[in-house]
Amino acid sequence: MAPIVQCMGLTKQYGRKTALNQVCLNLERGRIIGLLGPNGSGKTTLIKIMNGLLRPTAGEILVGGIRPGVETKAHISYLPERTYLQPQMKVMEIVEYFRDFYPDFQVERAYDMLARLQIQPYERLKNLSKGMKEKVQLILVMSRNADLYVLDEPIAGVDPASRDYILHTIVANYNRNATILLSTHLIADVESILDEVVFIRQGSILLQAGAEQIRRNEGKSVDRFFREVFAC
Amino acid sequence: MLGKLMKYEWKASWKLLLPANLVIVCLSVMTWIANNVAEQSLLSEDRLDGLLSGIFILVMMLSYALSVITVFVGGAIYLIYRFYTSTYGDQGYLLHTLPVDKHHIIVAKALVSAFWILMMALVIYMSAWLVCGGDTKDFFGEIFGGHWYLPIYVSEEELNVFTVIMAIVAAVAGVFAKIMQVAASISLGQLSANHKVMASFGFYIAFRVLQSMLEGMISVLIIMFADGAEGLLNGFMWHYSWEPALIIGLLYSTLFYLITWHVMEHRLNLE
Repeated sequence: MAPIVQCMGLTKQYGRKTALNQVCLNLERGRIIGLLGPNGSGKTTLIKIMNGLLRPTAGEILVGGIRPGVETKAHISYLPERTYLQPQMKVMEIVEYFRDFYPDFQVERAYDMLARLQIQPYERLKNLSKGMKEKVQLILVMSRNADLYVLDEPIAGVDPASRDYILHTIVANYNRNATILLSTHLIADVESILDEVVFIRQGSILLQAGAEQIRRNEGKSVDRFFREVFAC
Repeated sequence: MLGKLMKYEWKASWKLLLPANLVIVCLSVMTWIANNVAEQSLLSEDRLDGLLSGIFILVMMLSYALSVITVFVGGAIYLIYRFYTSTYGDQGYLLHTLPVDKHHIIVAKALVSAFWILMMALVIYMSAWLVCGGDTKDFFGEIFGGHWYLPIYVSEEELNVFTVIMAIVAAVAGVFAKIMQVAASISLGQLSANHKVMASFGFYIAFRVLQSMLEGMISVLIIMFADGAEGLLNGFMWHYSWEPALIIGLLYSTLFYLITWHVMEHRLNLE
C-alpha cells in the first residue's frame, strides 16, 4: 500500500529564510510517528503544508496519493498548536460544527470523552481554562475516524498530569489503520507510544527510523539519543 | 456545504448585528416621539419655551444622526473584523482545514455580510424617513415613486417598475463589489510577511485610487464627446445611472472575488 504522506524535494522559504530544505519523506500507514526537532526546526511548517495552510516554494507533497485539497482534508484530522475555535461558542455547538463538516466525526465518542473530563456541553469555550480548551480540541480531533491524525505540539504548555491524559486519549481513540504524526520537542513524554521517529533540524530531515531500532542500535533511549544529536 | 457555512456565519453574526438594528429602530422611535412633543412647545407663545424646544430638537437630531452612524460603522467594522479573524486569524486554521471548496467559503461570507449591510441600510432609510416626519404608511409607495435608490438615480422620464427594480439590483451589486473589495484587500494583505493589517489598508486604498482613475477617465471621455450642458452633466453623473452602475458593480465584484479566491486557493499563508 502506498505511503499516506509522500514529500518529494519539499522546500519552503519565508523571504530569505529557508524553513524546509528539499525534504524527501514517506510516512507509512498504521504507525505512530514522532516528528521531533528543536524549536524552529520546520516541524510546524511541514505540518501546515500537509494541511494546505501554506503552499510550498518548491517540491511536492501528496497525502493519500493526492495534493492537499478538499479531498485530503476529509481524511486528515489536524490539531494545531493554537486555539482555533470561536471562544463564544458552547461546547455542544462546537461538537455540532464538527459533525456538520466531517462525515467521519463520532458524536457519541466526543460526548463520552467530554463527560469523563466533566466538561458540560452548554459551557462556553471562553469560560474554560487554557488546559481545558486544549483538551476539548484534542477530543474533537480524536473523535474522527481519520486516515491521518496530525497533532502539532499536543503536550506543549500543559502540566504532567494533563500530558498523561492527552497521550492516553490519543492512543485509546485513534483508528488502528490510521497514522498519527505527532510533533513535539518533549521526547521523554511521548517516547513510549512512538513506533517511528523523524528527526528534523533547520528544515532538513536528519533521520527516519523505528523507535525500537534506535534503542537497539544506539543502546539508549530515543530521548537520550535526541539530546546527543541536537546538543548545542 | 454552502448552506452549512452560511448557517455558522449567520450564527456568529446575528447576536451582535440584530441588536444593532434594533438600537437604530429604538433610537428613531424615541427621536420621533421627542421631536413631536417638542414641536408642540415650539409653537407656544412663550419665546423661551420655543427656543428651548428648538435647541432640544436640534440636540436630539444630532444625537440620533451620530448614534445611527456609529451603529452602522460599528456593524461594518465588526463584519470586516469577523472576516479577518475567521479567515486569516487563528480561526482560519479550522476554516481552511474543513473539507469545503474555497468558492463556498467566499460566497457564504459575502452573502451573509451583504444581507446585514442591506438590512442596516434599509433600517436606517426607514428610520430617517420616520424621524424626518415622513408618513410611514406611504413608505413603499414613496420608494417606487422616488428618484434615488441608495446611490442610483432614475430620471422622471425613465421611471417605471423595471427601472426601479434594476436600480435596486445595481445598488445591491455595488454592495457586493464593496464587500469583495474589502475581502480582496485583506486577502492580499495577509500575503505580507509583516504588518498584515497595514498592508490590507494599503491594498484597499490602492484599489480605491485605481477605481477613481478608471471612472475619472470614463468621465473625461464622455465630456470630450459630449454635446452641450446635458452631455457635460452626463460626464459627471454617468455612474449614478443603473446601467453603468450595474456593469461596474458586477465587474468589480467579479474581479475582487477572483483575487480573493486566488489567494485562498493558491497563496494561502497562515504563518
